[in-house]
Order: sequence, then C-alpha cells, then structure tokens
Amino acid sequence: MPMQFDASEEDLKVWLAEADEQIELLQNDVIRLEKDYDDAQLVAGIFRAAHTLKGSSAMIGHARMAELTHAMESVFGAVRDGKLKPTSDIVDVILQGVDGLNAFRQEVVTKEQSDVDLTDTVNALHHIVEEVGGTFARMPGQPAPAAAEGPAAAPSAAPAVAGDGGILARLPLLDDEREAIKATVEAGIPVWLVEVNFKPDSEWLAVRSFQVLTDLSNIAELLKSQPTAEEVEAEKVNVQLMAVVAGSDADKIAQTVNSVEDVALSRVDAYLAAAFAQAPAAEAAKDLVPAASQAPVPESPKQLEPSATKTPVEVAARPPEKMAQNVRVDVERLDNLMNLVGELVIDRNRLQQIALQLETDLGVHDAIDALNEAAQHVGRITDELQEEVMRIRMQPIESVFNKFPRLVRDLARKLGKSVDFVIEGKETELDRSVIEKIDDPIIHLLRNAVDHGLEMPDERRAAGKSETGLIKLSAWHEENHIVIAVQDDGHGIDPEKLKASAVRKGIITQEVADRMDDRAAVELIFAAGFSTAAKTTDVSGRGVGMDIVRANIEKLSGFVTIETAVGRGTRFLVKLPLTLAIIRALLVGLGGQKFAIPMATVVETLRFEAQDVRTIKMHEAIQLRGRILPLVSLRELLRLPPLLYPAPELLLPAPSDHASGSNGSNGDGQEPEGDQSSGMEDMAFYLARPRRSHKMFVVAVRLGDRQMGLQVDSLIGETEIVIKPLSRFLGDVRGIAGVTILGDGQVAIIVDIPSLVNRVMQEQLLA
Amino acid sequence: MIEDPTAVAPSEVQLVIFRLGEDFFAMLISNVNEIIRLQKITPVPKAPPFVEGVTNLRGRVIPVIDLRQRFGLPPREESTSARIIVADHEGKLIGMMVDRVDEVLTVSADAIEPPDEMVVSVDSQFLAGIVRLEDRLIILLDQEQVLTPSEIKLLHGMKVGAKALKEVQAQAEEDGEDLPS
Amino acid sequence: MPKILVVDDAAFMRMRCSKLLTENGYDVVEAENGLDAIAKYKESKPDAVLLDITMPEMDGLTALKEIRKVDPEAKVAMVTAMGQQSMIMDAIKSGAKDFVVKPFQPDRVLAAVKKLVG
Repeated sequence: MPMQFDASEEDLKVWLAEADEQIELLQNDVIRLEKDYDDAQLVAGIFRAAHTLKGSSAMIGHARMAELTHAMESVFGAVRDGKLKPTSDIVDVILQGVDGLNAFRQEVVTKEQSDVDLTDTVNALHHIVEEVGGTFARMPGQPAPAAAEGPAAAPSAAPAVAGDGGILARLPLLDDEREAIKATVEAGIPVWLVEVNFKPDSEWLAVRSFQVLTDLSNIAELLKSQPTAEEVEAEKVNVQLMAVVAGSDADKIAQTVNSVEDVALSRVDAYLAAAFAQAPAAEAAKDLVPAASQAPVPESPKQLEPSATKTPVEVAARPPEKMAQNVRVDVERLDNLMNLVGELVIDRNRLQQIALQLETDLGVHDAIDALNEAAQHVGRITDELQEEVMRIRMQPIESVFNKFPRLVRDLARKLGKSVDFVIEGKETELDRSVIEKIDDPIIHLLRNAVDHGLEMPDERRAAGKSETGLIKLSAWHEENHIVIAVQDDGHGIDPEKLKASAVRKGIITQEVADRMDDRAAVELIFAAGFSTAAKTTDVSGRGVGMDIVRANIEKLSGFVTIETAVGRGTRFLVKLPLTLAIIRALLVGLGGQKFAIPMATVVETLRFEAQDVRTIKMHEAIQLRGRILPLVSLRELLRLPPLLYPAPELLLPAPSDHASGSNGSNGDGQEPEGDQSSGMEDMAFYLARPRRSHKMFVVAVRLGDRQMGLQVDSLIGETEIVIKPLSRFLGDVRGIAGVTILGDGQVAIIVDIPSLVNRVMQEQLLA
Repeated sequence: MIEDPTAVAPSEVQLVIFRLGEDFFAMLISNVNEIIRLQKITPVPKAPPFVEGVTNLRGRVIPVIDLRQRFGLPPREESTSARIIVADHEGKLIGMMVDRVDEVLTVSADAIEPPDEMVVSVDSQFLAGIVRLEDRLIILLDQEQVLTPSEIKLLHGMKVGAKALKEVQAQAEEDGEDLPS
Repeated sequence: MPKILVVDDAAFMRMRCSKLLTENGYDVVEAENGLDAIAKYKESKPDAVLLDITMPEMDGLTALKEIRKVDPEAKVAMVTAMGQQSMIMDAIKSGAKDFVVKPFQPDRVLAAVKKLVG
C-alpha cells in the first residue's frame, strides 16, 4: 500500500538523517539497559532518542511509528524514574520495537507500507508501563484508557506536556542564565531560542555569524549565544549558531535572521514558563501531540504555534561540539584522493628510478644532483601526503563493533546461554578499505564463541565457573596492523577430540592424527569442511566454515591464529593491515618478469644452495635454524613454464667450493664472486650451471602461524605499491591479488600468497 | 560554410583498417578509443592463451588480447608496425594486438555485405560483414562477438583451450543464448 | 530611480559594477577612493553605497566611519576579497549593513543592493 508523508522529498532526507541517528542510538544503547539501567545518562539518552523520533514521525504523519515510539518512550520514562527494572524479557520487547522502527523508517524511503504489524509490541509496551503503575497519554485515535490519571498521580511516567520542544536541552544554560530567562519570561517578556544553520559551504561563517548576532541585537536583547560574540570575532564559529534573545516576536526574528546571506535554515522557539517549572527532569518530556492529548496540559500548546509552525524547522544539525572542527567529506572523494595519491606514489618511484638510472649512465652531474634532490623532495612530500590522506580515511572500528552486542545477546538468549559481552578498544582506527570488509569474519568468530565456545550454564556451574560466560571482543594497534581478538572463557578446544572428529570425517587418517601435535590438531579447525559442534545449529552452522573465515581474512592480507586451553577458553587473534590501498611489497623476479609479494605475508628472504634442499616425504624442504621450512616453487604455483635445466645425467659433479657446504645454514656468504649476478635476468646462468650447485632465492612467507618457503628466481627489493584490481575482463584469476604499476612504468602482478599457498599447506599438513 | 571533414553522412560508416597476416580487417571507429604502439605487456599467469597480458595505459592497467591468437592464426613475427587498438568494451578498455594499422576508411553502409564464410580465414562468429574494395577484401569484425558473453564466462571459469571454448559455446546455446553460428 | 555610490580604486571593477547596476535600473555615481567617496556622498546623497575596503588615500573602513558621521543612516555594503573576515566584522561594528565578496557574482551584488535600498 503506498504511503504519503507530510513533507517534501528534501525534508524527508533531513528527517531520515535524523531518524537514522536516533535509531542507531537506540540499537546500540537499548541492550545496555539490562545491566546499566541505573546509568542516568544512558537512560536519558535513550529516552531522548525515542522522544525525538516520536515527534518527528508525528510531524511527517507516520502514525504507526509515532505510536510505537510513544510507547517506547513511556517505558524508558519508567526506567528513568526508577520504577521499572528492564529485565531481559522487557528488553526483548523493546528490541522488537527497535526492529519495528527500522521497518517504519524503510517505509519512509519506499513510500510503501510494509506488512509489519507492531500492535502486539505496542500493547506489550503499554502493558509493561501499566504494570508498574505508569499511565499513557494515548495517541490520537487510540481508545483512552479507562481511567486517565493526571500527572499528579504519576508525575513522571506520564509524558507531561511541557510544550517547549525540549528547549532547555537544545542549548545548555548555566544556572544564572536559566534563572534570568525564567525571570524574564515570568515578567511577561518573551524569550526566544534562535537556532541558525548556515550553508555548510559558506566561506564567511564568522562574518555571517557576526551579522546574525549584530542584527539580532538591533531588534532584541541578546542574552546568550553559542558561539559567543567574542568567539565569533576570533572566527571560532560553527555552521550552527544558537542565540537566546529577549523581546521582539518570532516572525520578526526569523525574518531578520533569514535575511542574512548564507543562512540555510533557522528556527525560533519560545521559552515557556512551564519548561522551567519541570526542569531539568522534564526537559524532554514533551508530548508533540497537540490539544488532542488526554493528559492535563499545564500550558496551552497553542501558545507554541507561532514559533513552532511559522518558522522553518530544521533539526538535522548535529550537536555543535561535533561540528566545531569537522568537515564532512564524501567518501567517494576520499577514495579519489587516495587514488590520486596512489598515482603520485608510482610517479615518485619512477622519478627516483630515473635519477638513479641517469646517475648510473652519465655519472656525476649537477643537473642529476638537482633532479635527485627534487625527486627526494617530491618523495618526502608524497610520503607525508599519503600519510595525511590515510589518516583522514581512518575510522574507529566502533561502527563495526557497535553491531555486535545485539548479535551476541540475541544469540545467547536463543541458545539459553548467559553471556557477559565486553568490548575493548572500539576507538582503534583503521582504513575504510579494511573496515568495510571485516564484519563477516568477526561475526563468524563471535557466533562461534557463543555457540561452540561457551558451555551451557549448568555445565559451567558443574565445572566450577560462573554461569555467565565471558566473551571479549577487543582491538588494538600493533605496528602497521590492527589486531582484533575474540576471546571466550568456555571449554576450549580439545585437540584429541578434534583429531578424532577429523578422522571420523575422513579429513585425516588415523595415522596422521597419531603423529599430529596439539598445535597442528587445533589448526584442524581451519581445515575445509570441518565443524566442531556435534550437530549443526542454525546459529553458526550457516554453511560457512572456519576455513572460509581464514580465507577471507587472508584475502585482506591478514591472518588469524588461535590460542586455546582446555577448560579455560579460546582466543582467536585476527591481524590485519591498517589499509589495503597502498602496501609494501617485495618484488621478486621469475624469468624476466617482476612479481610483487605483499610484505604482510613475508617473514624473511633467504639464499640457499640447491644442494641444501631435502626431500622429506615427497616434499621439498630446507632446514632453517633447526626448523624445517617446506619449499615450493612460485613458478610452479603460478603455472609458469619451468626453467630449462640440463637433464640429470648431464649434471656435473658439484664444484668444490660448494662441497664444504653450508648445510643447515641459511646458505649465505658461500658464493664465489662470479655468482653475485642478480639472478634470473641472466637465463644463461641457469641453463649452463648444473642445478645442484646453483644459488636459490627463497621468500619465507607466513600464513597463520605456519611458514613456507617460496622459491623465486631473483630478489629485487622492497617497494610501496598501489593495488589496482585486475581488469574485470580477466575475471578473478586465482592466485593473483591484483596488479600494480612499478616505477619504470611496467605492470607487475601482485601474487595472492594466501590462496596460492593455502592449498599446498593444507595438502602438506594433512598428507 | 566550413565542412567538418570528419562528418559522415548517416549512410556512411568509418572503419579502422588493420592487418593480421595477409588479411585486412576493420572495426567501427566508434568503438575504438585510440591506437597505440606495441608496448611492454606483462603476461598474466593462468590467463587464457589469447590474453596476451596487461599493459599500462597512462596509469590505467588494461588487458590486451592478441587477435592472432584469438582467431587461431600463427604467431606474429617481431615487427615495428605492430599496434594495440584500444577499444571500449562495455565501459572497460581492452587492447587488441594487431600486425599493423593501415588507415581509416569511410565506406557507404551499402558496401557492407553479409559475411561469407567461404572467403575468409576467420571463424564466422566474429564477423559483422565484408567490404569488397577494388583491390582487396576487408573483413568487418563484430567487436562484441570478439568478446562475447560466453567468452567472458570462459575467462571467469579459467578454462583454457579451444575445447573449453566449444564447451562454453555449446552450453550457451543450450542456455538459449542467441549466438550466431 | 535609486542612486548607488560605487567606490573602488580599480577602474575595471567600477566599470563592471556600474554597468551591472545601470542595466538593472539604478543610477550610479562612482568614486575611486575613500576621500573621493565622502565628497561624492555629500554631493549626491546616494541611497546606498558599495564600498571597497582596500584603497589608497583613504581605505574603506575609514571612509565608512566618515560617511556614517555625515549620515548616520547611510546604507553601506562593503566589497572585499577573501580572507578579510576580521575587517568585515570591524566594518559591521562600524555600521556596514552587508558585504559582497570579490570577485562578485552579479546576482549577489544585485541582491545586496536591493536589500540595502529596501
């Protein structure tokens, strides 16, 4: 059914922006009510949000939404007044309401009435308040309650009509200011709260603010302003200006203010005596429903009309303190900026390379020095620019974390578990490019923790633990990475059980299981097709296994590790780079071609003699500081044609300089001078020398807490690269993370180490 | 009145004429963004054989296909006349390697005949028509067909070789896709 | 026909401004510095003044004060370049009613003048 709203499209945009803010606040804060219901600030914030939503939904004529928010507000009022303890059941009902708000909000977008019916929820909310002796001012069209009680009987639960639009909340007043305004109002002189919003692109905010204040002073007495006149003169201004003036009338004030250039919206409201009578508790307790309200009205709402209806109402402005130093920038523009910086990084690399080339070719020359200097300067500036842009793009991880309390709560209730969910470090910042992609892995880890990690309350009691389990989600910075930890104090992962399960599922053989150490056994959780729960619940068994979680994290150049102790709990650590836009990479050569390996996966680079390679259980490996490093050829992984070596029977005996050998060492420093060439550029070298004596370059990479050696033809060096997607035309080529343009203008392939190596590791792990 | 030399009567079309081996080919100029000299192309591992690789077009990385490979012709000998025709394909730029680019020709739309499989060396699915000039025969390519949807599917599926191509085409036909045969 | 005094030391700006105003039905008097402006104000009693700030001889702020001495009801809008916010605030304190930013947009100038003339 199509719906119509009493507002223009433009106004509805403003309405939506505001509604989203309030709904988000409710979403985030309502679940905290269960524990923190005595946190006055929390409750006041929730109450205000419901109240504002009620007002604005009534304003556009969304009756069902107004009715719902009204009922919610009453419940919050009862909580605020200490009459109602929000139990989990009550919070469940409120959360139904919050979900309903989202549906109603959507109706405003689509202009189509959804089939969401919240009559039951509204009735339940009413019932909750009535239980504790509260009353309702029924919304228009609702049957009046049998016995309407006045505010005297239930002074606070009933939304008393203060008729001030929460005016005292909109501009904080000092005590003496409040008294002065009150006295002036009582003396019969009108006092007005003037809110002025300037166009955000106004380049003359200070002067415009100054004009407003000057013009206001000319027609009325200026009692207070924010910013103050002094601040305005010091050019400390916001796009919003609030002023309290005495005298004149609403129309004249609005006209005066609106005649100033760059004023986008203004609003003039009267301070009424009633506002002070109930202050401060009633600051928000205002019913927007006009005279039809059943509740006794201390002051006729009609008095409100001149101000409330004749001046444009603008409510989207954020609180001034947030506006002060900030400019809103379109995300797309930031992305563009980042792309441009990326181009600059490429050119910087190129400049430096040209200078180097010239120096090599032409020797010392003043012009080359100058070029070098300029190149370095450009380099420095580019670095700084890049850092700044990166910083602008950084966002606190809060926006992601805020979704989770509800998720954990609902899940725990569904499973009959009791959970204390703690979030730490939500102010930790990281780049948009990463923020957008980390939801899913964290959600999965959290579900896993609630579902599989924590025991049922009786099990916990039997184990001597508190019935309420703890799940902690935390984030912190570590060098250029962010670490996100999901920790539970549940039963931990039993390696023996995991092994047994894996054998049963045919993932490994009993023989392999017997040889497997605990650490490797725990890693089985990441094996494809593995699920630890005896039965698949509808909670975490959504067809996505931990193997997918790991793969997704690794796609972001991150990795996940697991720590667990039987009976004590499990902790998953996810480590991700702060950005995905520009990364450091190791350039390696394969044949004449350069490939980039993201540094995030690189542990170290090594040089070995081919003779140091052992074959262990069919796989090549080298010994590194007493450990075995499995070895694979990047060439083979990428299915590049193999290098041509002479047939084995033609191999010469290894030259004597290698006979002394560097067994077990990292093989460095043993090479005769002639072999210091950069490697693969010189194919003849490889063709001519018997394989057993040639030098090998290995990049040790890390996936999770396992390492593997990638054999490459040559090591070229480290550089910063800008990741560009491989043309969509080529599709999603497995093993390739993207492309980048190098300093010399050539395109290099960025190797997707996780996807390439994972399979190999899995094979070797499980073989 | 000054005549715009590039203005073409509605009944005329402008063609970019290029060569692969001895054969002359043409593409509608409206689909061609630019023509660049053959430059360094970076091969992409595991890409299908007719994808030559990717190249840097002023900061954009675009894929390049070799039309010789695409049409199953023998590999090109090294030559300075080789060019990359950069075409717009569904909003994406794609480079096509050719042996040489000869000229831009304006022909009457009437001069374009329907494709005749017998006289050309290229699989008819890629043909939009034939232009007969006094001294030569020009094969007008259907750019869309050179990179048909099933082709893209093939690329995504990373199946390689003519057999896979045939499979995909067969599948496409089953799916009811309107492919010229 | 309302009369506007246009004060600017740059002849081109004066010309542009005069032309714009004349085309829109105003009577225009020009002055090329502060001193000149005071003299012209006394002489022609304009309905409104567009007053540039940065000028030789006598700057716009001083001229504003002088004009307001001559006529406390004088309706003056300042013409200014970017970055002179504090000067504008001084001007408003000294009685300027409005201001126009250079390089100005015609409709903005017309709006300001219309508001001044009321």
